Amino acid sequence: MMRERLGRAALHAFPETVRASRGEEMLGTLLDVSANSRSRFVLEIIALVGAGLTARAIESAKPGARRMLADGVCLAAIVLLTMFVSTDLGDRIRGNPWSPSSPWPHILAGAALILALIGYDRLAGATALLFTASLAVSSGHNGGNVTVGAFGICASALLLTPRRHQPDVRRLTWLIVTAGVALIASTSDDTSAAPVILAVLVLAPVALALLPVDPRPAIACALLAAWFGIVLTQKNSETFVPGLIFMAAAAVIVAIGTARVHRLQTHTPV
Amino acid sequence: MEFRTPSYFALAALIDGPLHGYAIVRRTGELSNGAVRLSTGTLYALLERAIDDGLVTAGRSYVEHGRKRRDYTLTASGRSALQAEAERLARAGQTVTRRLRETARRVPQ
Repeated sequence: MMRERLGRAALHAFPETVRASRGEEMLGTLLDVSANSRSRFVLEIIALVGAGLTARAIESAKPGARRMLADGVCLAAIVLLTMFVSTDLGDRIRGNPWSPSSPWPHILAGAALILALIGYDRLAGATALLFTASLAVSSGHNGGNVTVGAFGICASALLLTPRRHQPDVRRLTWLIVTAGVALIASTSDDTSAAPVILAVLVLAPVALALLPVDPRPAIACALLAAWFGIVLTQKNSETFVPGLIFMAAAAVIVAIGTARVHRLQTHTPV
Repeated sequence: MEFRTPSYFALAALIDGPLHGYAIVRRTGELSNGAVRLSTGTLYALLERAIDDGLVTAGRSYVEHGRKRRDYTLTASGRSALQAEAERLARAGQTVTRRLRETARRVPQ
């Protein structure tokens, strides 16, 4: 019973479609093959997870490098919107919201985030473009033209190259993360720093670990690193070099992700 | 088409007729004299690729001794690809064996 549970857990390494069509069959074979040996069972589980991750990598590479890059920009839009909304919420929790005269940027950013999370990318993109426009005319924001430009690019990607997946309201659970980041941000005087630090410490390592399986989160992080790098290079002479390092790291990650997709797309021998 | 060793023996296991996953693992072990021990992950990955390449077909799933099974069958294309690979390996083996025999007397013991 324990082995069956472990086997089922290992099957989660496979894409959902493979699990649905061959999961039970694979589990049966796994249990038969390793019936008389504990060490064989452990090796089988490791091999099964490896095969599952490879299957995921092949599946994520199927649409091609261009699609992968577009998906990465769409994911970057979600992360940017999350950072904006959590910073804004953090400010409100602290009782010092910026730009109190105009509620529109906040409403539009929240709406765009919710729509993008569910999967209505075109609607989310249009809303995010309106948000970008409202951000551009707003005088109270510190981010400057680079941030407005980053939002504009990501919003355009959502509108023009929406991701190909079915809408799913369960993805709104990401709002719990947004609320959590907002709570952490509210404990600091610089509420915009906490989302950036959390993105660097939590999101980036996870995305890099996923790079061999699914490069899209890493591409999203690379785009955010490029944005952050440009902001740093424009800040002052001390932050110029770190800014360049961020930009170079972003270029390397995008190159690795693209190369990985090309390699997985080339035919491997049976 | 070139095969990796596990795929070569796994497809060879299907020469005598359709087999399910566990039976392929056992037959592969027998045919390779225990040299190839297929893991479940490797087996289904190679079956997936073989199906995509038209070398193998998957039958309908059924239940046997409480386990969900599916039989896999070697296609005509799979048989000829396997035959071509067997001949290539045989030729390669013959070439090396002949050269070893021809040079055996010249190599100091």
